[in-house]
Amino acid sequence: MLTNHLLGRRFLFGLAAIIFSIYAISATAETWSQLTPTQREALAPLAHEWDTLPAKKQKHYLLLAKKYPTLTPEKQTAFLARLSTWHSLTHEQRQQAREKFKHFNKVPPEKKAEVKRMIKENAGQKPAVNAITTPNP
Amino acid sequence: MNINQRQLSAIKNALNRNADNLNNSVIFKLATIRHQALLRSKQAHQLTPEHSSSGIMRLRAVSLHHETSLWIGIALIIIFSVLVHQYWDPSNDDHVDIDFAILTDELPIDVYVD
Repeated sequence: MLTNHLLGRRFLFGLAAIIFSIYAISATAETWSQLTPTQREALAPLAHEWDTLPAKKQKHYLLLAKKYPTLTPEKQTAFLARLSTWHSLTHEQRQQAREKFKHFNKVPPEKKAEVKRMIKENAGQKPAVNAITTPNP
Repeated sequence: MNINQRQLSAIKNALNRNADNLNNSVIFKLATIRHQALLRSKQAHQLTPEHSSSGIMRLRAVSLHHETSLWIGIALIIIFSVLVHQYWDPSNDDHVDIDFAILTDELPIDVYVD
């Protein structure tokens, strides 16, 4: 009975030590200097604040950077131009953008092309945001 | 002999006298219960009567093996769970795909944000 009691305490201590060390290792953030040249190129707009980002956010951006080499040079330029804007949005704004994007992608291609043409013609004017509205719940 | 030792001696003598006065059926029952308790104890430590002659070392070897296997199994389960959580997170994958699409879309980001 005493052996079982000691075994139980050692077991709990060992389990706690294992859980803590694994989460400590998995939660470690990467510094800017640890990134590969390709990653640094893709995430250049975030270079000045990369080291201060939480590990989870870094992981998200690294997943985005993984797709960067697959882009054409024009798309890469667009990606880099928009990344810091995207990063500066609040969580709610990003969620809203995702919802609107999903909704817009369900629109028939002709309608989508018309909306895009309209937006490009009115480029720089605020009314463009009314072109895409989220559906009512 | 001090007071405590005298008291202990008196208790011991009383127990011995009463043990001598036990009838055979009670003695038999006590012996049976003791035997069963010993057998249960041996089974709990995975020690059979025919192995008991090899002594304490075999008992310790079996217990350590069981303990180590248990810890290794638990560690593997935890590591597997953490890896699955870290590298297979459906919600994260969805956001990556959509975010990448938005960042490379024909339309600027402010079209999708109020």
